[in-house]
Amino acid sequence: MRPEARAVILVLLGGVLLRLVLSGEYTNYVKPFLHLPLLSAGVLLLALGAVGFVRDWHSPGTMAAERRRAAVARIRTHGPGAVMAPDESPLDPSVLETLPEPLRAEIEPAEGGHDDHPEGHLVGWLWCIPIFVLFLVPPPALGSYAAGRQSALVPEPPASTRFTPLKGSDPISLQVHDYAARAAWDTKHSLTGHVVTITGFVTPHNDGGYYVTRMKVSCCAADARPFEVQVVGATGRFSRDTWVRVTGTWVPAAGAPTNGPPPADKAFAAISATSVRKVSTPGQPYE
Amino acid sequence: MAATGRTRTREGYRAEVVILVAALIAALIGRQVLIYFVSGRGGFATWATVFVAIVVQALPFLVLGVLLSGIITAFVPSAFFSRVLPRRAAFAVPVAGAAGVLLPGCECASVPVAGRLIERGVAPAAALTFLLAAPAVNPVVLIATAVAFPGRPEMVVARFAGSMVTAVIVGWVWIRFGRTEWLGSRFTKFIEARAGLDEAAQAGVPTGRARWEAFRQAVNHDLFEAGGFLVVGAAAAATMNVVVPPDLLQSIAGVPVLSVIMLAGLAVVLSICSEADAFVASSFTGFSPTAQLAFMIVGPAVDLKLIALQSGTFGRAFAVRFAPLTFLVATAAGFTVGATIGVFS
Repeated sequence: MRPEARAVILVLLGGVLLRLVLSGEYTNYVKPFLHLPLLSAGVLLLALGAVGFVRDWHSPGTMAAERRRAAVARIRTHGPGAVMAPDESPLDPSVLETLPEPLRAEIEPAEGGHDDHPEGHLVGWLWCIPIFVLFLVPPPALGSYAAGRQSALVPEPPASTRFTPLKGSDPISLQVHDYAARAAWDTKHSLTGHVVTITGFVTPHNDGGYYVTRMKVSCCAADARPFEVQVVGATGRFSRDTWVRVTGTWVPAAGAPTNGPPPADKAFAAISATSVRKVSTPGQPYE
Repeated sequence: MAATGRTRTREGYRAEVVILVAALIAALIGRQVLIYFVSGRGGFATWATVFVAIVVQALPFLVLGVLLSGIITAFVPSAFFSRVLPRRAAFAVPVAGAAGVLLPGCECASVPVAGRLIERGVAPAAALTFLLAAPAVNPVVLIATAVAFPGRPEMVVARFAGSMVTAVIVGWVWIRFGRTEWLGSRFTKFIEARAGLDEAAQAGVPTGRARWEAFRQAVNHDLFEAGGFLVVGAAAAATMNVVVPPDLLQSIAGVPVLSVIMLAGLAVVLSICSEADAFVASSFTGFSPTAQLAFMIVGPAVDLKLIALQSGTFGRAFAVRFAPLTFLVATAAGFTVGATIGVFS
């Protein structure tokens, strides 16, 4: 890969990263705590690309001089054998003439060595794939397809989890995973007697009903886990991936035991809905 | 010589311009096709989201890693490493493992850094131990593990011990059986050239403007070499993420040995960042602590994204030997620390 091509890709990569961060779209892929690291990475990549433009986008003559300077720098750094980066074009003989004699002697035999890994030249082009995908069709946040691949079972919370009593006046807004964990696993029924709202997207299931779903992400979308709450007694029909706000009260899911913790294969969550309203996609699609 | 060199340069230039233009045209046509698939929100959109997510999440850490490797190349003289590291590689290995505590990144950061360490004269075994230890034992990862397993500090201790033991054992195995030529020509050249030089000749770092130029060259080089392979690894991991049926796992959760090996294998294919894998491990309810530990010890040491990065930096001959070795050692370490905390709790 030529330095000029690298500069173009660096600028594009930095640009696309900054666009993701500034538009807030990055939350479709990673958690908000990566905001600052992503911003700095974007700025650094842009700067690196800009410097690349200034230093590498030259007439052939200046480029040869630049190469000479870089080659000398590399030899000083790494010792002989480092005449050129593996992806650089061969040194101009004039470069060799400018080097001190002992270095020159070391260099000559090593000169053919740069063609050992021609594939190393090309692999950098792969950066184009994420750049094009992000510039042209930034993929949406994970939705019902990803959620539907996993079962609606609510995983057992860690043994140390304490379900604190709900605070505030009804209706109380809860995160979907919080509601699901309480609904399926809270043997003290902290949800009883409250009207709550949960916001998520619609995932249809085989039995004809639908679930309000939210993905829980720890770092990036690769580690997403769905939390799904079956909507019982719902009014209206919604197509998959529609974002809805469900207001309702807790009901035990079908087949759940009336007291004591459920067996792990029966730990479903459900909500008896009084209203289901369509809402716009939230800024942060994951919890 | 001069003439052929110049012709080749010009041809290479033209070829790259053609590639760039072709890519632009392909993108404009492909866009319609992509929109069709992505807006469908089906399997392809899910794949694209996970692929982009892995790349975006890894980028800050990769940038951190290549900046660090640039600094090592341009600003830290070799003498520094020969001073802080014990001369005998067998002793340098555990010291390098302990130094891993200092790099608060995930696995993408440590691969280019390890490459530059070898260039600076650090014994390959010690650099490889650092490569394995850094993403697994740094404070960020340990805190994340403590948060993911509240009230179970033994999981944090076991994870630390398991990863450290894995890194050190692999380093020692490399001393005994490793060969320099597996590292690829970029490094063998350096190692051979160094062998013939005296101490004074090794110490140099460039000065003035040349120093910044060397820094920029190193950063550029590592970003594109390692980064290109990161894209490959992210694509492979995203494919696995969409293809592996998640409910298959739950059915084998109770089976003693098989469940551990399954989670270890899953850590390889899912390629989750080491700062997040504890949360995923803790979500595998029904699995034994041993299986969860194996997941967390194998993940930062060997996964698809990491194998791709390593073959980018060290070459294929290295990756095909190093990945299976690391997997075996890490899985064994998972069994061992799992059994140990089983005895104590």
